[in-house]
Amino acid sequence: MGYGITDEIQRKLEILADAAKYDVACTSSGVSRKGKKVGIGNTVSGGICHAFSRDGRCISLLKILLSNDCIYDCAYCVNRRSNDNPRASFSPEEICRLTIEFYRRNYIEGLFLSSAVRKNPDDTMELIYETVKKLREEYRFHGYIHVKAIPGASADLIDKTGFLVDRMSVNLELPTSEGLKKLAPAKTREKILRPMRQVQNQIQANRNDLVLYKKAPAFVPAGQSTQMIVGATPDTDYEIIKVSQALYDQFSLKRVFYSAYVAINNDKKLPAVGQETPLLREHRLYQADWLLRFYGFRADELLSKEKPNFNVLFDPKSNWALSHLEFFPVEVNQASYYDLLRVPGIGTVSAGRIMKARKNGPLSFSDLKKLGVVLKRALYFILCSGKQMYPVPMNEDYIARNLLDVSEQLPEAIRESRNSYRQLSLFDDFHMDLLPSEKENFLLTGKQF
Amino acid sequence: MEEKKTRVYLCENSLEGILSAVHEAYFSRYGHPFIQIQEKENYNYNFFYDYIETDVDWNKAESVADSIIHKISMEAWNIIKTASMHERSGKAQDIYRFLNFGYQMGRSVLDYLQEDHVRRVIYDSRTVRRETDRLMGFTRFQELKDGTLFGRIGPKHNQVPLLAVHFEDRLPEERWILYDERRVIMAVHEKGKKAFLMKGQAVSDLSKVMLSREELQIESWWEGFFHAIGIKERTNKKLQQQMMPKYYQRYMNFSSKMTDYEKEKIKI
Repeated sequence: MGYGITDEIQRKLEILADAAKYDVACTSSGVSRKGKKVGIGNTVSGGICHAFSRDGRCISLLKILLSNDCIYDCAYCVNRRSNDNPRASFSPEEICRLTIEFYRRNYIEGLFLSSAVRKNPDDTMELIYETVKKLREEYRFHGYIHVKAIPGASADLIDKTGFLVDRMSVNLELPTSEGLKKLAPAKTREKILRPMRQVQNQIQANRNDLVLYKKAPAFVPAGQSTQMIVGATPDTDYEIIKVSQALYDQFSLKRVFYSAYVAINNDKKLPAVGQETPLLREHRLYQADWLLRFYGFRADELLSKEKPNFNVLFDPKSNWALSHLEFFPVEVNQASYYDLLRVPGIGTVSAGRIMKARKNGPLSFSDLKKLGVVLKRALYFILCSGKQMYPVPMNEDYIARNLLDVSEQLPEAIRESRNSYRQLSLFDDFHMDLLPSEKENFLLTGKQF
Repeated sequence: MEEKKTRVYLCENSLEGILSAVHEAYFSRYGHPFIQIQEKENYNYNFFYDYIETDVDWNKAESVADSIIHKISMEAWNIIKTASMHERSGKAQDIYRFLNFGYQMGRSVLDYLQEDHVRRVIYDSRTVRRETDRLMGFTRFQELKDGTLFGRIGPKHNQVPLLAVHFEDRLPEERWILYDERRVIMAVHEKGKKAFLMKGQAVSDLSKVMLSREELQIESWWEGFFHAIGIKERTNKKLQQQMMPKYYQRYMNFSSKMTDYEKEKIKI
């Protein structure tokens, strides 16, 4: 008895989790809420990871689609109408039950609910709202909930949902509106930005309410985020971080997520299978994203129209430092917090510690080491009480070569090419882009190849 | 003049045990330099020392706890509380020296990272906290026939008291038991009440008969979800294991069946 139904849930769960897996955000951080006497659940501000999937990503939330039955036909998406995929939809009741049963067993931190657009945006948003309302009010669930606002849904529905959830996000999908026009003709930039603006305004208005009335219900307390696909369109890194910066400045987003394009669909409009975006590009974008949010960098400092992409070998901050040697050396005992943050090897934590510790007296290099500064990166750029750690020339080539020795783990192919780069530059001491010809080789080494 | 003989107070390996010994040590007025506090378990006796065994005395422990909160700080108390859960032997002595120094310095004691004892206590507490954070995620409960949730863990440090506080807040309406099989300690929680600790009550492995009817079904749902959510093209088993070490996977009941599940997939 009832066996068929549970089998059906298993089938649907696998389809709808599979369909949701390309969504990036699975964070449960940003709010700290104590549990209540009745009901179930609380949230922890740092977020909790409950497992790690085969790709090494944290599983924190039950990340599923309400339905993968979509009316749109976006080129990059698994769930597009023209794909011959198994389709399924959950009822609100089923989602609530899954969430509660998983939560009780401590499998998850909460729910991440997204959906394909089933009949029309309003209908889909209505279902999402119903699910969340049921979970919060009937099941008295106080854990973390993250939902997608569906572009094109009525403002009223988004508003109602916002008071029940912790985080809301609208997918930007692609960095530029040209890309959107090409790959997702049914969506426009304006349609996507409208709910984003609405959520932003509501959060602001709600913050004012909370000042007046302590018990006012909180609207999206963990803020809103968005994500975009990188590498499906020919946009440069420069364009992408310009967009991110605008989102942080003008829409006060909490996070922008980047997802390196995985070739799922064969489509003339898309990069071919096998030409997927390397993860390193995604990684560089996240590094730059941190620089924008916490380090006081601006997009125009990191990249320019002439140099529109990030360096493969150096992280954005080292890259910036190497081309701005006139800014260095920085005197650790006097520099401001934001000047310290510009030094490769000093992060927000160690910069904060330096600010505190130097009140009690000047710091030496061994003190810096104890405070968590990565000296092997930082030593070229800093002075302690007017002295370098040991004499090093302020020379771009010299520092670049030495930084490469300690640089982070790079993909194998790049690591190998890096070695050859180094050997070449050691061999002939001046920049050569081409390998020496046979004749030159003969002249230099006297050996015939 | 004859050298004063070192006196060692042997205490039970627990927060209340250590604090009781601290109380005795202070009231003996023997002089701090000549006193050590060591855990009873696995202690190697030394011929030249005097030994005094101390028992747990809740009144003494509480009065020491009060004095730490008032004379040093709440933060220091929290650090001592977590540091005492550490597995390292010799931590009792470090906590004792931390307190000697702390009663002199007041709240600024935590800034003295250059003092070995202070640093060790703070680092111990940090290690323990990190494991607590991990286990907040990795603990798994199974539902028994009567609806009780049973969670089995085997952490490196004593985590049950710290985790109990977390789950008390999270699952207030459930009846749950959190069991540490390495230390044979469990926290038992009844609906709407505070959790209490029980020591020395061993629980053998659960058989399938004891589980509720739905339990295996829901575990299989979770497995299905777990496999569907990973992106195949981006597989990175090394990263997965680094984030979720095998030591903890043992207790995350899906892991054993995960291999079976994968075998099955290959067969098809």
